[in-house]
Formats: sequence, C-alpha cells, structure tokens
Amino acid sequence: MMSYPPQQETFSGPEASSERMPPGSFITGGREQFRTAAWLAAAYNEPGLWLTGGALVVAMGMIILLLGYIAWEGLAAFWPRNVVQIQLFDGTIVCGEVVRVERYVPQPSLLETLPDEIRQKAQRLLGDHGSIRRRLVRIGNYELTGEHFRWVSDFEIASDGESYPASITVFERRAWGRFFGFLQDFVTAEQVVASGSERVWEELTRVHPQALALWKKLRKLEWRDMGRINHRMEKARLQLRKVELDYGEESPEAARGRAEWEKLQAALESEAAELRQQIELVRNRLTQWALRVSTADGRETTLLLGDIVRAYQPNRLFWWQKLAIYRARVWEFLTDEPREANSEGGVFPAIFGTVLMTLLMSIGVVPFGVVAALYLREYAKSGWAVSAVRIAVNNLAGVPSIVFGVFGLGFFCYTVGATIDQLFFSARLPAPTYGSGGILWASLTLALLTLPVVIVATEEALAAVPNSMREGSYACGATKWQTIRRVVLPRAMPGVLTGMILAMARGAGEVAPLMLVGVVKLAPELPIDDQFPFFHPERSFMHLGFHIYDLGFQSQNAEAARPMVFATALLLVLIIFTLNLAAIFIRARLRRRFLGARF
Amino acid sequence: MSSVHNHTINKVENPPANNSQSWEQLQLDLFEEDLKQAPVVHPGLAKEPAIIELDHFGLWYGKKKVLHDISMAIPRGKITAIIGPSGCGKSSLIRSINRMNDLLDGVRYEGDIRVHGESIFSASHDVIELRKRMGMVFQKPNPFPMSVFENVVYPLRIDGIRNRTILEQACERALRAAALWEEVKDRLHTSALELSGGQQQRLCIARAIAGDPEVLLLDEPCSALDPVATAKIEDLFDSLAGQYTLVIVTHNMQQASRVSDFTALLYLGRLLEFGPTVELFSRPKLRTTEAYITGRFG
Ligand SMILES: Nc1ncnc2c1ncn2[C@@H]1O[C@H](COP(=O)(O)OP(=O)(O)OP(=O)(O)O)[C@@H](O)[C@H]1O
Ligand SMILES: [Mg+2]
Repeated sequence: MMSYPPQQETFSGPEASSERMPPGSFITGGREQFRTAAWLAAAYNEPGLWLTGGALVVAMGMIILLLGYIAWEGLAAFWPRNVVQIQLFDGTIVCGEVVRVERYVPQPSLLETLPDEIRQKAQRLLGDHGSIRRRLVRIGNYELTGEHFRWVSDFEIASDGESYPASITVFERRAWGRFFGFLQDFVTAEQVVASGSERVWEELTRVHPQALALWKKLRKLEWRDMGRINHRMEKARLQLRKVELDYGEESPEAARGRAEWEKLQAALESEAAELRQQIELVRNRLTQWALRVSTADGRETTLLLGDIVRAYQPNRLFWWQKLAIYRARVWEFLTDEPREANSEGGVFPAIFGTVLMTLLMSIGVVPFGVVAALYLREYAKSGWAVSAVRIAVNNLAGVPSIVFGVFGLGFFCYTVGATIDQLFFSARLPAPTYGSGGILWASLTLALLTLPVVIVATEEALAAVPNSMREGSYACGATKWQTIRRVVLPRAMPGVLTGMILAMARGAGEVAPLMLVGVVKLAPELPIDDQFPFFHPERSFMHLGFHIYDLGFQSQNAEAARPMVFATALLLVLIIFTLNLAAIFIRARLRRRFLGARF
Repeated sequence: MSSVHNHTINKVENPPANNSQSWEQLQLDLFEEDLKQAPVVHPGLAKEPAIIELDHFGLWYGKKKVLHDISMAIPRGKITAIIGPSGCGKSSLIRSINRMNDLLDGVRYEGDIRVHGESIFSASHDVIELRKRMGMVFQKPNPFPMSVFENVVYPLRIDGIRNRTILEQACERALRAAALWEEVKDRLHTSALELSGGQQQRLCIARAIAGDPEVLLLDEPCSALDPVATAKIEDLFDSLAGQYTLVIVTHNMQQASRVSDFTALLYLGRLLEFGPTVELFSRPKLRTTEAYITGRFG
C-alpha cells in the first residue's frame, strides 16, 4: 500500500523535489543521491503517473513525427530545385534534380568491376566514412534516356565533374515527364526566329502565355463543346431506344422516331464537322511554335510549345523567384486536373470528390443516426431487446470496412442500382447507370459504416440531457414529440455534432470500401457540372485517399509520384482537419447557446 | 413510554440521555398513537369550496407503497402548504395531481383524485389538457436551453400559437407576475441559462403561469434560493393567490406559516393533520404535529 500525505508532499516528482532544495545546501553527491532517491520513490509511489504519462508522450511523439514528416515532404514537393550536371568517370553526363541523398556500402563485387583508380577512390571514401554517399538524380528526358531517375555515387564522379550551368532550362510537359536541356533555336512555322540561349528564352517567355491560352481553348473545344454534341446525340439515341422499347421496333412511332433521329443526327454531324474544323485550326496555330533544344550530353530534339506547361531556369533564380514558381505549382496542385498518370498536375477532382462524398455521407448518416438514437433512448422501453440492439450497433463499428464495401457493392450497386436502371434507365442497358459504383452509393456505404459512431454519440448526448428538463416540458403540457423536438434535441445538439465530426473524420479517411463502390483513379467528369441535371450522383469519382494509394503503390513511375503522395496526404489531413475545425466551431457556438456559461 | 404519553401536549421533551429507548422509537410510538385519530381535518376547511379533491388516494412505486389513503380537499384560490419530513411523500403527492408520475415505470394508484369534481384518472380525461391547466415549478430551476422569451412562452408555443403580439404580451405579463420583468426585459433574447439561480427559478414560475393555469403546483420552489430571492418569491405567491390556487411543498416551517392559508402535514405517506395555517401552527390537534412544527423532529 502506498503511504499517503507526507510522502506525496515530498516526492511528487523529480523536478518538484529538486526545486525545493536551496542551491548549495547539499554537497553534490548527496544531492544527486537524494534526487535519484526522490525520483525512484516518485516512480515507485506513482507507477500510474509514469505509465500513463509515458504512454501519452510516446503516442503524441509518434503522431507529431508522422504529421511533421508528411508536412515537410508534402511542402517540399513543389520547391523548384537547382539542376546539377555531373560528369562521370566513364564520360557519361548526368543532368537533373537531386531528389534524395543517402549513404550505403557498395557490394564488393560491384567494386571489382571498377577501374583501379576509381576503386581506390571508393575504398578511400569507404575507409574514411564507413559508407559512401549516393544521390538520386531525376534525369527526365524520358524519350531519349528511357529512364526517369539515376543513382550517382560520389566515387563515380570525375574530378571537377559537378557543375550548375546557369542556362539549363527545366520544362514541365504534358507528356513524357520533365525535360532538362539547353535552348538552341525558337521555330515559328518552320522558320527559325531566334537563336542562342538568351534570345530564345526571351522569345519563349513572350510566346508561352499565348500558347497556354490556345491550349486551353483547344481543350475547351475538344472536351466541352465536342462533349456536348456527343451528349445530345446520346440523349437522342436513348430517346429513340425508349420509343422502340415502349412501342416495339416495328411500330409507326418507332419509325417516326428513327426518321427524326436521322434528321437530328445529320444536323449534329454537320455541327461536329464544323467544330472539328475549328479544332484543327487552333491546333495548327498551336503547333507552329517549337523549340530546338539540346541535352547536356549533346543530343538534340524538338519540343512543341503546346506541350510545355512551365519552363524555368532554376540555377539563375533567386529564392523569391523560386517562391513564385512554388506558389504557382501549389495553385496548380489544388485547382488543376492530374496529368501523366496522376504523377503530375493537380488533384482538384480528388479534392472535389472527397469533400462532396463526405458531405453527402454526413447528410445521409446524421438524420438516420439521430432518429435511431432517439428511438433507442426516448421511445424504446429498456429491456433485453434494446440492449441487444445496442450491442449490435457497437459491433457494427468493429466490422472491417471492406465488408461494408462488399455490402455496398452487392446491395446498393447490384440490387438497388440495378433495379433503378431497370425502371428508369432501361434504354441505356446493358450499360449500367446506377447499377455500378458511383458517388451516391459510396456515400451511402460510408454512411452505413459511420452510423454506429453517430448513434453512440447521439445516445450519449441524449442521456446527458437532464430529466428535469423533460419533466419541465411535460409539466407545461407538451407531448413527447414536442418535448423531444423543442427541448431534448436542441440540448443534445452539441453532442450530435460531436458524433458528426467523428463520423466525418472516419469517413473522409476511409479508402478500402470506396474501391468497390465508385472510386476510380481517373474520373473524366466531376459529379457536379453544367450539364442537366447538374448533379450526377451515379458518376464515379476521385478521392484523395485512393489517390494516395494509387500514386504510391500502383504507379508505373513510383519515384516520380513520391512528392505527390506526400502532398496529397498532407492535403487530405488538412481537409479532414478543416472539416473537423468547422464542426468544432459550430459545436462551440451551440454549446454556448444551449448549455449556458454559468450557474 | 407511557410517561411520555402522560405529558401534556405542550411538554414534549427531549428524552433523558440514559433512556434505553431511542428518540426515533418514541416518535414512531407517538405517531402510531396519533394515527388512530388521523387524519385530523380542522372544521375551518369545511366551508371552503374545493378545486382538487383526493379521495382515499394511494400510490405505489413498484412494490413500495409511498402514499396511503389520503383524503383531502384543496380549497380554490387559496395557498395550501404541504409539510412533512423528508421522504414522507410530499413530492409524490403533488406530482400525482398533474399525473407527472405517469412518466415513471411501475407506478400504480388507488383511490381517486378529482379536479372540479371530475376524476383525472378516467379514460376520457386528457393528461395533456390536465397538465396545461396546472403549472408546475420544481425544486431545482429547470429552464430550457433557449432564450428567456422562448422559455416563458413555451406553453403557448406548444399550443401552436405563432402570433408575435400575443406571445409578447403573454411573456411580459408572466414575467411581471413573476417579478422578473425589470431584470430581464433588456435580455429577453439571450439564453435563459445565463440567468442566476434565483432568476431562473422565477423564470420557471413565469413559465408555469404563462399558460394561464388554474392551479400552481410548487415543489420546494425556494430550496435552492438565498433569503432575498426567497422573500421575492414569497411576495409573489401572495400576489398570485386568489387568481390561482397554489399548492406549495416546503420544508421550511416559517415559510409555510408565512405564506399559506392552509397547511397539511404528511407523515410516512399518511395525512396527519390538515387545517387553516394559523390554527394548525398555534393549536395543533396532534402531538406529532406539534413536535414537527416546533422543530423537534423531521
Ligand atoms: N421514482 C421513484 N421510485 C421509487 N421510489 C421512489 C421514487 N420517488 C420517490 N420514491 C420513494 O417514495 C418516497 C416518497 O418520496 P418523495 O420524493 O415523495 O418524498 P418527499 O416528501 O418529497 O421528500 P423530500 O422532502 O426529501 O423531497 C420515498 O421513500 C422515496 O424513496
Ligand atoms: Mg420532494
């Protein structure tokens, strides 16, 4: 048994006890001894304190470490790095951005293959430091080199082989990844209009905005306008199909429909042909501009200006100029669509999908959860049945999320969705409309997954409403429903919101079930757009959590996608954090309103 | 034991310290003796018109019987105090009058309670209607989590009244009647939970009278209040009497004697004595009553 007041007073902790001793009143040894004894006694007397405190420190430390790592890597992902040019001992020239540095001990068999001089250098380095530094260089120029990255060990570098050429230019392209090279000529309509690094750079900075604008226009024509024509054609075809299904293929209605359809098709065709012509025009204008560039190892190639997203010369930029590029890249990341198999560009569709799905899920889960909890707490007579339901609800929270995914696929997509398709979208069959994964089914699946969270939180909130309030309401002659609606629910609202926050945090971060019910790695269209009926709950969507998984583990070029993985993870954490913060803010306001500030 | 009984009514004494019998035992004996005569209803009550009549009323919580055979007539427009030691069933009694006990599981009644001669337990009687006719104030203030205004007009709201002017008039009238208007008229739309305890209790009284009931049932309304707030609320009762019938449960003898017209003493679930307050306090007919009101036990 612990001995209480006196010891607690003296041995409340190592800091406390050493503080109380006047400085210099003990010789050092005695003081040390006393301190150790006090510390041990404190640890002995309060094992709970040390155990719990220690556990907390470990947990917090791990969380901070994780978040800090994600934040650091995620924020560093967009920084334009300098481009290094390295000449190796065998004459190879490696040029690109250093993305990672590490130390390693090379295999002896590798060293054997090296020329004597280099091997001696390697062994010397190994002798001095015990390991050798190597750097991962993003070399780009994939169409020429066939690889994106290359490791360079220190001993491979020829003497004085490392430099940072000022005029090297980095191109971010729409395809083939980055390009590192030197500017040679600027070509407009097959005519060289500028030569030499400086002049070409000037011309490039002048023309590039025009090229970007044209590209945007081209994309709009190809995607939106062409898409609209296709959409109308599809709609007309579906109408015809419906008529055929309703009246039979041989009926006069169907024949009339077919005639109409042919007329419309002809009209749309000519419209499309016109549009194609326009597109061709714009494309020709865009492709007139080209750059002749040479790589560090002397190979020459031509880049179309229309393919270039951004060009900069990092080695001559000051940090504030780099900051401008950084800002532009972050903005692109947040607002643009992905390109290059998601490893470049933005994640806007994924942000949109995540937020929309989380909101839909909340709309789905909160009313259901609250009503269920109201029944359990306010209406049901307590007994074994209610206890059984409660246990079942709690167990639901422990079911692996993938099981919910399977259920969602089987129930929502294949049963409910297929029925909806049979009833309302029969013309489009066998292509599914609601019969396959979509944002609605994904939201409902997650709503089911987070239902226990909301029910449990609401039940707790309802249980915390003092009975005296209910009695006060009944005494005024209120019915049960009036009491619940006017007194109990408002008072329980902050607790309900807590449940919603927990559900949202859980739902926004969930990936596994979504993979079955509607998340895709690249969705061509957002679930909300300018085409009637504007909200398309049947469409599949992109999601940040799945994006992380896809980039990090499914990508062809995992190393290039690495920065995006961190940036996306950081963004997901921030979004969940913001959603939570918003809900916490609302809850705090409600609390002030409903629970009162003083007594 | 017999020696105690032989004392005259004004001389109930503390027992000698060396007496082997406990004081509690003496009380019980005294009570048993008195119970043979109980309930003693003073003749002064007979001429009062009754609004609520309890008729051999009994109440069980599950297997436990907490009220036994209570018959009393509560006079209309008067203040009736119910006193008695803790746990004697005062709250149970007052909660039976507007059937608040229905909300508890395992409650059973026997006998009858009539309001205006009509049984409140008959199938045709609407509980909601009954409760609307009786305002109730509880021991601890229980304002709702809404604004002062909404709290007061709550009984009107649940009646579906939306008319702003009617609500505002009712609110002001009730708050004035509860002597709270001056204090809250500038903060009608702030949360009622920000009021002080005494203000909250007066707010609950305002809420109870806002629906214009006939009867006010008050269960120790001042037990959580300081003397100043208590005095204010007692003044309030005075001004409410006549228009309303008040039934007040109280632990405080002074309060009962100050504010009430009639007083009933409950003991162990039984009605012992019921009469005009002045008579009951100055010339109690039972020795238990006498012992209780002089503070010898309870
Ligand atoms: N909900 C209940 N379930 C079971 N027994 C109850 C319940 N409420 C009260 N009782 C019992 O009924 C008896 C009378 O209780 P009641 O609350 O009416 O006493 P009271 O006179 O109001 O006491 P006090 O002055 O302390 O408020 C007590 O013995 C109490 O234990
Ligand atoms: Mg009581």
